[in-house]
Amino acid sequence: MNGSSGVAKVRSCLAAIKPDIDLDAVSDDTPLLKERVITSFDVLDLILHLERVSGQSINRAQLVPGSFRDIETIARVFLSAEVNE
Amino acid sequence: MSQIDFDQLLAKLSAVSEEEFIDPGRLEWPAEVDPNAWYFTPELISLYGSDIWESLDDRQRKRLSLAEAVNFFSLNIHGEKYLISEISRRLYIGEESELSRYLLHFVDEEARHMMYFAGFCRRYAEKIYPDHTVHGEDSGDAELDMFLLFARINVFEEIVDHYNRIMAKDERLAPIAREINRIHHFEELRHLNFGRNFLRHCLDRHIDDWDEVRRQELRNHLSSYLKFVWKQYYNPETYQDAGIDEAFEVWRVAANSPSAVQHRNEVNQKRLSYLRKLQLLEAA
Repeated sequence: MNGSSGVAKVRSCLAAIKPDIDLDAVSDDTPLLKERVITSFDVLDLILHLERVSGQSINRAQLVPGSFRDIETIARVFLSAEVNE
Repeated sequence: MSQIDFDQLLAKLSAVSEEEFIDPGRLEWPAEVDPNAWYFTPELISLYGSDIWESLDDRQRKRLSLAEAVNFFSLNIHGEKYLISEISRRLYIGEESELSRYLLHFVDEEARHMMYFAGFCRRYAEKIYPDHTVHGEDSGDAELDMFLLFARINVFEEIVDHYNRIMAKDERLAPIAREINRIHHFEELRHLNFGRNFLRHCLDRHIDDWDEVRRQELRNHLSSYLKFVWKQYYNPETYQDAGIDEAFEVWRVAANSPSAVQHRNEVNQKRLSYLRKLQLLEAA
């Protein structure tokens, strides 16, 4: 599993929770919360999808706004075990 | 509401909190779960009325009712943890001593609520479902942030109280589940009274400061928060613990079933209409 695969998985999670977003217009480093692509209230759904695709429970210490800064960051913080495989 | 009226209300609420103290240590805990008992009112279970619900037998439904009770108490624990931390850092700032006096009771009561919610979850499920909340950052406007904090608390508590009120009277429930809902409802009535009056008091003070753009932001924020609160009532881990197959897929569709949508609309209508009248929530 490599980093780009992690990014693709994050994109698939975002597509599942926000089907109305045009993800082609969102780059991997677009600030998601700042640009209001998602709000902190969307994170609950996103976490459950990330847990599903990673097969692991999220570490609660990672649940801070900075962990959801952009797609690359989410992949690194939450799917890094896969990246390192 | 004038400052004098608001201070009088706070003094009254503080006096009642001091007189009507509920000790969670007096609860009598059964040694184990009764598999034949309901722990959550069936009609309030998140899957009630769905195709999945219809496919479950009585024993499975009762198992799900226990998991839903643990989820309900868990989300209360996490909500109370957050509000205790947020309220505590606002205590004894400035001149509003009557407000701080009451908020100290508020915090004390919330801490005791967590004792019995956690007592139930630990004893009968050996777990508290994890918190999935990521809290946004403050706006930098202290008064606005305080207002939004209590507006969110009020939305959260109105929905919780709807459930508490029904389950406190539901004789189908195991006595311990009924009692926890009853005592929580009893104390939350004061918090709800405070919350509604605090919001009105803040609006009276700031109605001229907050222009339409800001008010629309408030409405958007609270409307999004309301959706978020409801999402917490649908938990794939709950379905998994109840032994339901394909729990994640069940979760993905549970909140969109016609019966679930109707249920949320009815509760919102019943408990949150006053927030719409204050123009703090989008029209239904």
